[in-house]
Amino acid sequence: MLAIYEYLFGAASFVPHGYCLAWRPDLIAIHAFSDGVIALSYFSIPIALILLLNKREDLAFKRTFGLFALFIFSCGVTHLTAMIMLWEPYYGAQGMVKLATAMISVATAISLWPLLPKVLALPGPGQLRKMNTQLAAEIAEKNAAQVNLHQAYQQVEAQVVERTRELQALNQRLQDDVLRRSLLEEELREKAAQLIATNAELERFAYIASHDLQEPLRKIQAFGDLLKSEYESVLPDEAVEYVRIMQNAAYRMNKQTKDILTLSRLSWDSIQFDSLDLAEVVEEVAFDLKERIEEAGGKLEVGPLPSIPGDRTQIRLLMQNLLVNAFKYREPDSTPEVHVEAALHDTGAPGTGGACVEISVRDNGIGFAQEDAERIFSIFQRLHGRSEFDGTGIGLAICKKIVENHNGAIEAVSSLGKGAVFNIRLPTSQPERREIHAGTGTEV
Amino acid sequence: MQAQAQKYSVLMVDDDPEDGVLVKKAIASTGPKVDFQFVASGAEVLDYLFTEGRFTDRSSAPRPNLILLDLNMPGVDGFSVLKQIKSDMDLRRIPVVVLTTSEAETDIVKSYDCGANTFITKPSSFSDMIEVMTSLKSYWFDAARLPTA
Repeated sequence: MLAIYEYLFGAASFVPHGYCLAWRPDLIAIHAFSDGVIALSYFSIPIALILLLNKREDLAFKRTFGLFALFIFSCGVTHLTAMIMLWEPYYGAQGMVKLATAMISVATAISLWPLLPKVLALPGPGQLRKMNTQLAAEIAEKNAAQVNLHQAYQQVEAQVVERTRELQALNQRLQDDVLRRSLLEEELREKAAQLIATNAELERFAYIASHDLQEPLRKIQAFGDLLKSEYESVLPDEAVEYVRIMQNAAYRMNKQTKDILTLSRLSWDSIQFDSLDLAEVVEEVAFDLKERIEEAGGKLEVGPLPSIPGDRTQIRLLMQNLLVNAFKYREPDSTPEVHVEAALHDTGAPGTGGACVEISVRDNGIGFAQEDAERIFSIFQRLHGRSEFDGTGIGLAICKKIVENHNGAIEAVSSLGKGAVFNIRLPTSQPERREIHAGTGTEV
Repeated sequence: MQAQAQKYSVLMVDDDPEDGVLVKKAIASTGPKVDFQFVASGAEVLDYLFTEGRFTDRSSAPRPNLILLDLNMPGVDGFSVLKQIKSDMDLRRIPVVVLTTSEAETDIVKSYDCGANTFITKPSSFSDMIEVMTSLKSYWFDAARLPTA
């Protein structure tokens, strides 16, 4: 122990370092001062490093930091001993201190070298700042992009919502439309059914009314006749005139109800299409009208007429009405001339456009204004007063109904004072039998 | 009017007595007198013909030489009457003239099918009625020969 102490601090045979400096105070001062300041400084550095180590737990290379602190500290001790050596010649101790410092330095250096690439790899603060700035910029960029993206997304979403709403609205509208249309169609169907029912009802009413009206009417006429025939001689002239007027009115009404009955029957009765010799039908009608034609001094010219499929009763009634009209509406004191002609056409049948027969009844009578050409086929439409021409206003309506029953068309061409032509187009082929109103009412 | 004295008797059945008056007047105005009997229902005409009910006395209900039959009557209608007349071995020989307001083809066909001898639609004027009665009388009582009852 003593030997070690002697080795370390045995100063008997040495001189202090100040001696080497010849105790020059300026040199002593500068060495002592510098070594002291270096030592102090060197002692402060490890403190700072240890503090740093304690505060920064994420610090890399902690061991090397520790070594470095120890190395600085030992350097500080070396300088401290160098300062003491100026006055005390403990060269043994100083040598030990230096040795220790040397070992620590070597260890530090050894641990430092392999660290160098690693430390170099570590980004420096500047670099870090730059990277940070870059990162911040990138983040800002990304944020901005995200915001943009979000905005875009929101826009798209809004558009989708908007489109969806539009589509839904459109869909709703379509559905409403479809619903409305189907409701309308339903309504239309109902209305059509109602119309058919009402029409049937009306026709039935017309039939019943005209049929049932005939009964009391017949009584008025018959008893009027009776009154006149049995009491004419005892009644005053005025009374006889009244009876005559009543008789006339009853006669007209009778004719009218009969015509209505005929017209409504045309809607009721089934129709039978037979092959009909039109020439024969017209001949028959002409025979019936012979007296009337001769009375007027008239002339009936009938061209060649074909056979057509038709209902004998109805076609006869049609030709009769047309011929009666043709002779009836004539200029006073003129000779009525009536022509009946027919032509076959390959096309032109109403509805189907197939082959048809065109029958024309032409007269040289008073005619009518062309603008009335449609009106005259309506029931009760009369162009003349009763005093001019007798009639019920039903005849042409009957004609039209008959032609329609035969799937044909009738039209009138005329101008005032120029005579009139009635053209009838009838198809050359008909279904065998047509029920106009199947299973309606029983005859009363 | 003395039924016995007259050669021919006409029986009319119609639910409308006014038509009875017209026909009676019309017949009366056509030359030689004929007996005219009138009943107002299908049931009554059957009683009359089969001498039942209030017609048990033949003197007040002479056997007709011609029957004028209305179709549309309440209760027993013209067709039922017609069928009963035509299914009776004796009565079927009496000519039956259907005299009705109907002009319907179905009625005409059915009447003849049931054995009617003639179908006439009631004319609307009295003069036409006279004409109808004149021709009926001249046909059935003058031209046609009927079995003597």
